[in-house]
Amino acid sequence: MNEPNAEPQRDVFYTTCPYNCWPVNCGMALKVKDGKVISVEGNPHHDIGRGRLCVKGQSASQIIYSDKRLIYPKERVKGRKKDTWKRVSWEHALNKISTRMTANIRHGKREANALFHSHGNIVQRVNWTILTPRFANIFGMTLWDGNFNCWYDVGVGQTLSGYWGMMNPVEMGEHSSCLVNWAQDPAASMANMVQDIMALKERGGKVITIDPRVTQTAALSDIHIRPRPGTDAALANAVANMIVRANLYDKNFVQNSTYGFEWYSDFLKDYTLEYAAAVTGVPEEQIQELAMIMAKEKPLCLNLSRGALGKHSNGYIMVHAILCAFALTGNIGTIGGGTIWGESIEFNEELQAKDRRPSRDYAPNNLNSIMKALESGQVDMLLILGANPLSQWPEHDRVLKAFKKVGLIAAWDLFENKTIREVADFALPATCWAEELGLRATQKKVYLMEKAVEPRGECVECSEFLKHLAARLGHREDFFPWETKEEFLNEALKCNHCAGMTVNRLGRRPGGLESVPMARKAYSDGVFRSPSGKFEFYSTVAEPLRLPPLPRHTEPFESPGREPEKAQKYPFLLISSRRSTHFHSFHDSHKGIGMLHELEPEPLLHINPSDALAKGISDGDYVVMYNNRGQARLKVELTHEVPPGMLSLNDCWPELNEVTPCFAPLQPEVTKAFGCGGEPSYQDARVQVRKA
Amino acid sequence: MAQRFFVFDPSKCFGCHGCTAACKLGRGLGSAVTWRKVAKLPPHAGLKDLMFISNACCHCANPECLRRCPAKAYVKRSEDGIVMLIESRCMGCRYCTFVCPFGAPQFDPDKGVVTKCDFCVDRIDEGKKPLCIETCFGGALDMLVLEDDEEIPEGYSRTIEGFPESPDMLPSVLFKIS
Repeated sequence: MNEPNAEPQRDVFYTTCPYNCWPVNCGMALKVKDGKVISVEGNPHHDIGRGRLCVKGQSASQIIYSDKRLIYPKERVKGRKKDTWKRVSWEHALNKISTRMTANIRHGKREANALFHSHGNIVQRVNWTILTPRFANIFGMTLWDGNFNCWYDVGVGQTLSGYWGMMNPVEMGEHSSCLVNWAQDPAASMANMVQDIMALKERGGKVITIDPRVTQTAALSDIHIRPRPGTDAALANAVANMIVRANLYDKNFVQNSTYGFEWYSDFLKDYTLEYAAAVTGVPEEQIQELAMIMAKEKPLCLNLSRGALGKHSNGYIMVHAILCAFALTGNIGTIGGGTIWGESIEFNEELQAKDRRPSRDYAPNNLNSIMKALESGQVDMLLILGANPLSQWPEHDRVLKAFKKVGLIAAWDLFENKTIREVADFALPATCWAEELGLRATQKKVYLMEKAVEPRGECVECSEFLKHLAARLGHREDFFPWETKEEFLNEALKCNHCAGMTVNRLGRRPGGLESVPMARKAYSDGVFRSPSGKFEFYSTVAEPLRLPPLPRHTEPFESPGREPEKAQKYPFLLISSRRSTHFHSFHDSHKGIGMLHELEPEPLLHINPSDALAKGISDGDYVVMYNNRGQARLKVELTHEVPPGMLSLNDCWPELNEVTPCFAPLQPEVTKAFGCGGEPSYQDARVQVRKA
Repeated sequence: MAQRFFVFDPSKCFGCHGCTAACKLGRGLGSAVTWRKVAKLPPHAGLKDLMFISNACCHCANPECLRRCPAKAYVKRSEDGIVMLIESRCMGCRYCTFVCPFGAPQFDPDKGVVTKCDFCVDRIDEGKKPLCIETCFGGALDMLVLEDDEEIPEGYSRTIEGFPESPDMLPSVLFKIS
């Protein structure tokens, strides 16, 4: 018999897709029967997904029920020849971790306790923007997160200009006359945006994609421009030079809302068509065409939504150069004009408890300082939450050696992954998105992520895991003073953007609640996030950090121009790429998800047929890709998608990082000053191949 | 007799495999079976170096599977020409899998019989579109019904470079040409 006030049995639960497509995810409707999710469908009331899901979202039910999922805590048992795993209790794992942490604190080495979390696999935005920082601040831990290898150098380019985009892709579909995807492949990495690209095309709009590879987005574009990787600043500066010399720039915007135009205009003079064509490999006519389109198409939308450019040693300079060229066109702050980037809704960041952080010399979230801290043995205990650094950080051999110096590593995740297999002492089972209550925002709206089913096995939420650990460290109430998750989320909703929202109000609203203020016509007030308050062609924050105030193109580190010998020995430039079928190395390089694994069963190295012919390599052959940093055995696909002299490999596969350089062009001082910078230069890697 | 066609616009497909997943997961197919597949077309030039084709059963006007099936497990329904496989009649000889140039009928080892795309006939009868069409982000997939004496509408072609040849079978797929 039902209790008098019991809620009627529900069979549909609304949530948001657990993949962390940036900037926005799709809404989901989970059908539940007898306590199990029986189908995952798009939520038609969601402002971005609009009822559809991509191949990853559709396959998400397999995340929950995969037989490869971690469902019990386990501990590594070191063997003489081979290690094995044994099942342990949560109690045992938590005691081991907390004992180690307490010892470090007692010995005055708080910062030897470190926490690294990624931003997507950890499921909920509130986990990585509130709970992990809060935990690290209260206990004085070194805190690193996956933002550094995702977008940090793009952020520096944006900081140099003071312009952070914030445009909504739906607005592009409705109002823009032209879209420039600059080093972006939304068709592969954020399929929901294809609906807007198609809407723009149907209105007669143009789509331009700038990418050395023929990407999935390029396949949908009207114009495809293929610069040599790392030379986009030369391309953007030549475009800007043409716009300025032809007197086609927006004088009103330049005069009222920018800083340093005279210097910029003078600086641009060197960027002639001839120079840019020689440096970038893009024909002069195409550069000219791009300049004319950017000058004349209004409203123009620039898509810089993801971190691809930042993965090059020239990344922050290229981003600054592209934003400067775009600023000249006067599209910023208009309806349908602007740059797609970033989420505009942040939850209550006061809960991070920054003021509680003990003063210490913590290694900043920058690849160079992280590696230094690990390699010098400064880190004794490392918590890894929803991340797979042994697959995703560059130069695997070096990263592996560095992680082996850590005394104890505990990894909380959904699946056993390369990191767990190679270095973790404890593998701790995490809940997936359908098993916990949470929040997610788009650029306009906030949605509740409903808990649809109970966690499998002994899987535990991030908040619970950290709460139990905090209890053992004697600060349970400090860390999590709330009775329930709902109470905590209500606190997280106490922020400017979410005025008046509560879990209760968000519940039963599959269409979410509109945030205040709405992100429409971002930057239409002409106020930018720079010291001058203007868009800075000439950056006023660059000089103290010895960064170039104007976006000057320099040759990439591993280019023939800078390292002729190396370029001869390793003639191919390796580009990391993305396809619809994977999301970084989530779910153990999607091996845990049958549907995705079927579609992308093994890494495929793309090689241009002319290069393959010269090397006697046929389609489907296995090759060894190598350089001074490492090597990997890979199957090849012959395709014109990569230009001659280049290879590409999807970034979900650990093989990629056998050969990438463990180096960030920006130093920790930049990270400390800007809160970003320190991204590895994955895309600046040269390799050789031979038949396996 | 009328015939229902799949319509595919290669200029709108970006190879996301969403249709493959919608079909396989939505129809609860066995792990060894994939009714709708997305493949790369041979390179053309420039942007056309990357073109995709999404294909499933073509519900041919003269289906070879139906003609050759020793168990008479195949039927072609009269109102719209959808080719259906009655699994209870299939004896698992797999003869159809050898004669179909599109790889549409596939043997499911878990069931011991062949299975095949049925155009989501139950959804069609409810007035809905098949799952693959419904899910497509690019709007590359659609369907239409042509009466027997009806010409193929302008702007459509019965084949595309890279689509398997099948002279007499008359596959019911139309390609949008741009």
